[in-house]
Amino acid sequence: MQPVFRMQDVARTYRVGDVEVRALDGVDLALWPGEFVVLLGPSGSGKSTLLNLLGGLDTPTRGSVWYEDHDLATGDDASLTRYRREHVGFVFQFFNLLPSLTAEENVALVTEIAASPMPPREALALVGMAGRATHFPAQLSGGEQQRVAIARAIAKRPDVLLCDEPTGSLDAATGRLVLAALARANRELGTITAVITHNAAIAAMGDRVLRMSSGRVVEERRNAVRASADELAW
Amino acid sequence: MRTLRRVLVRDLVRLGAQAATAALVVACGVAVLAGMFGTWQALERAQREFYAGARFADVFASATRAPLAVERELAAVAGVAAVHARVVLDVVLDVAGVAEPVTARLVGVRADGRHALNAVVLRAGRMPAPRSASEAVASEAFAQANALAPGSEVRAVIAGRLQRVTIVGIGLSPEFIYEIAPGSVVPDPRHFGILWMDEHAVASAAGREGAFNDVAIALAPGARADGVIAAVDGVLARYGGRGAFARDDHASHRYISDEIAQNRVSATWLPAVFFAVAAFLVAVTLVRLTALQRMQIGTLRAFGYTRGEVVRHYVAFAAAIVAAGGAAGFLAGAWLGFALTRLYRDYYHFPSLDFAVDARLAAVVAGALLVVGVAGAAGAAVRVARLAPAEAMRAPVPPAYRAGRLLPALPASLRMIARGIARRPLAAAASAVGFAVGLALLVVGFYFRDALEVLLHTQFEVIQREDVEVAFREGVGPQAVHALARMPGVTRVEGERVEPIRVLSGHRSKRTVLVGVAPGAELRRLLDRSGRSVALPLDGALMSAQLARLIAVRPGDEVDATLLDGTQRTVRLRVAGLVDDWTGTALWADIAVVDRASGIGPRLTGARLRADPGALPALYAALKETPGLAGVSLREANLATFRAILDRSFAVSVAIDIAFAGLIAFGLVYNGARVALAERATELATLRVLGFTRGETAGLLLGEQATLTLVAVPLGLALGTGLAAWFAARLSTDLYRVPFVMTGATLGLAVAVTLACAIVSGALVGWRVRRFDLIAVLKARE
Repeated sequence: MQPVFRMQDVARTYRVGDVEVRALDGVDLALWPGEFVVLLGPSGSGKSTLLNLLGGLDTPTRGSVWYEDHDLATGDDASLTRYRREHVGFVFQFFNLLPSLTAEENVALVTEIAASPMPPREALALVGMAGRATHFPAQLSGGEQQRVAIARAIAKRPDVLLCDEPTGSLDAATGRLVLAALARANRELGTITAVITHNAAIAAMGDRVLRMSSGRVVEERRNAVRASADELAW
Repeated sequence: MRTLRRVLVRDLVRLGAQAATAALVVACGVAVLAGMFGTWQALERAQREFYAGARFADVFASATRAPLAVERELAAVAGVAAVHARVVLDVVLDVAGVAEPVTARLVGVRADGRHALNAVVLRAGRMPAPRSASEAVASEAFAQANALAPGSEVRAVIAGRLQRVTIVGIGLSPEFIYEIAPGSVVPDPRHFGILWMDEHAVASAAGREGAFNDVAIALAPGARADGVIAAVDGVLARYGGRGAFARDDHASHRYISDEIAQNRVSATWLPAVFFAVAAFLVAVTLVRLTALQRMQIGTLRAFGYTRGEVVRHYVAFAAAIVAAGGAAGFLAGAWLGFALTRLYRDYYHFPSLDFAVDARLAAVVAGALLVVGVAGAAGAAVRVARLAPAEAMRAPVPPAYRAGRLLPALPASLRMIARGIARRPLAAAASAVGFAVGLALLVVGFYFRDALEVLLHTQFEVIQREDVEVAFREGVGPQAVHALARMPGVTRVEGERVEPIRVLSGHRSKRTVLVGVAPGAELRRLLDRSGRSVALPLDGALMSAQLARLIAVRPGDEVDATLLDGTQRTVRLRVAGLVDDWTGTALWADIAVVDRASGIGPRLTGARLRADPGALPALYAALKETPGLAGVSLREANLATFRAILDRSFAVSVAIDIAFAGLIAFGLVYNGARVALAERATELATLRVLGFTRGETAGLLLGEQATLTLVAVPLGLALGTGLAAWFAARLSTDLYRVPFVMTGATLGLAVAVTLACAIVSGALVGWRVRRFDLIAVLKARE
């Protein structure tokens, strides 16, 4: 079996004023088909930078990033946009739903530009939000908004689902609902799912857990059994 | 408070482009207001001062020949304060350097130049010596156009003899501020001018010794012109009185007064449009700023700044924009005012016409700026004042949208645009209306050019078919046609008989002329409304459609025409049809009808000539030496003068229209797009992350503005067309008419110009999508 993502000796430095910040420093990583990966680490450990590189939002200062035969390290804006459009689903900490569109329309916004999407209603049903399809974001709770965001991310049947602190602005009970929706999408659609979080409790859900610190992957472990979302407590 | 001022300065810098756009629109409004208001004031002042200083008369009359003793009779009429009787004679001149014959009006003056009325103001040289038949003062415009100075000579056929006349002075008169030849619409100072000569010399040249043929009358304070006119007509009836008229019918006065009135209107509504758009832009910018700075406002209030201090801080933002725009606009307005008055000096000849930056102008501009500032800042000030410190510290409530019933059929992206507009209907409407007004301004600007092109073409290429039109000083027999036909190169001559009349229908009457046209005439076409030639009836007359409107006459009606030739004969004429002409308010009839009406048999007052183009110089030379001619009018020269005036004034006004309309379109779209960008940065960045291309994202960013712009286009075209029709109706007077024409090319050009400005400003903002830092935008919670 071939890895879907391959990262080799990846470094990413930023310049903030006169200070050079080394966000990633020599990361090697492979992601495999159907995997659920949890990236753990404190603020500033480099996990968001890693996710941005995987998502084609950013390019490394050094090293190579490959998604199958797509070179993500040297891609220009147009090719990275196409990559995101065709292969990636994003879930954000603050949901980032468009306030002027209903839940269903937020999903449709993405399915309209996708090659072989599922119907928006079906995606909402997958996250248990079919009953709220005609509600605007302002009429939904935080957890509901995040589930709509997950529906929006999975509706185009992406090859990879990248989630940046998906439960970061939710309470525990709501967070579990959201994580259950992610796990279901991973299970039923076989989408590679990468979740970054500083919440160690979520680690039990993953096939694999990567712990990051100071721009490096400092620990990698594999869970023999994946916990279900409702078994988690924090 | 010093720190707060620093915040203000930095906000202004940060929102620089938006603040500058608003300031620029303010500047346009102030420039137009200062320039036009100042010009209007300057024209009014110049007219008032000249009229008062040179004692411009109130009532005017001419007669065939009245003994000088009648002057005293006129002075005795109740309501008359002063009378000035004189002889006026039109002659043909030969001016060095001008191939064509030139028409001059000789006006008799006293040697001391001191008249009770219509005094000549000397600009150079001196008045003619007493009883000198060879000295004249030339009108300034005429002198300038023909490079005449004291000492120059012109030649004129006076009293049957070719005489040399020396120009001894250059002068101005309140009667000839706008110096146009009789029947003309635009001044042609190269071919028409005024020569003031000794009153005895003119009387003798006209064969009017001891008599006068023209009189100017001043009214006593409180006297009514109507009563005096009736009495004067009564006195002059025996002497071939042509019907007295008040200032309102005096050509020069009418043109100036109409121009002043139009300036007053332009000085009001044009700046108002700009100020409305400017206030809107300031309001939008400021409301956006206060929305983005809710937390800052809350923090300031939490620190103990009073409500008033915080409100003042944001009002100062509006004040800075308005003040900057006002200062720049005032300078531009002063420049515009000086330029406009300079332009006016070419057409209106006052002793002084000066644009003045005075306290009144400054007060008007300051008042306008205050209104714009208050209107622009009020909304934001109220919001800031209402914001409780605690509320300001909380995250803003997500904006609420409504579903809308018709939207489900649209793609999600278009639904976003539709809901964005629906959420702020007032701002959207204001933006669309503003854009429509800008477009309409441009349509109107282009319309005037089109209208005058049509007027030029119809008048000089369709209606007038002659090369030369001559006027005889006294009526001549029909055989005069044969003499003209023998002149060099003449291929066709058509005699004409023009008689001044008063036409009466019911209680409405109007002084005008009855034109007798030779049967089978080809050199002057009479056209109906649809541009087809109308045949002259054997009996009855054709009436100018404008005259028919003025005196409420319809085809088939009968009117009474009283000849103002001294006989006062009245004939009844059936109006067989209407003629849509562009100037004057004449009646036309077969020349035999006019001959019969006059009761004195066949006579000609003028003729139209067509000549071989190669022989025109020889024909001109011969006409200069032909005795008995009161005037020569040349179609080509008239057309060239008209075209030169149009090209000159339209080059400037169309450029200004384009700049103004473009700025409005640019400002509205730019501002709207910047607001959308600021409010929806996270949304748009999300779209980019989700795989929307830069183009698609920019499309959603600019979609609202694009939609509003497209909605505004038909609105602007309708408004512009309506305004053009309104102007056509408003500007159509008995002097001339402005046709209403609206071509697809004009509408298309106006749309193209405004859309181009909108697209450029949209592209400038859309370009920012490229610079989005996707990661940063997503990390920051609004």
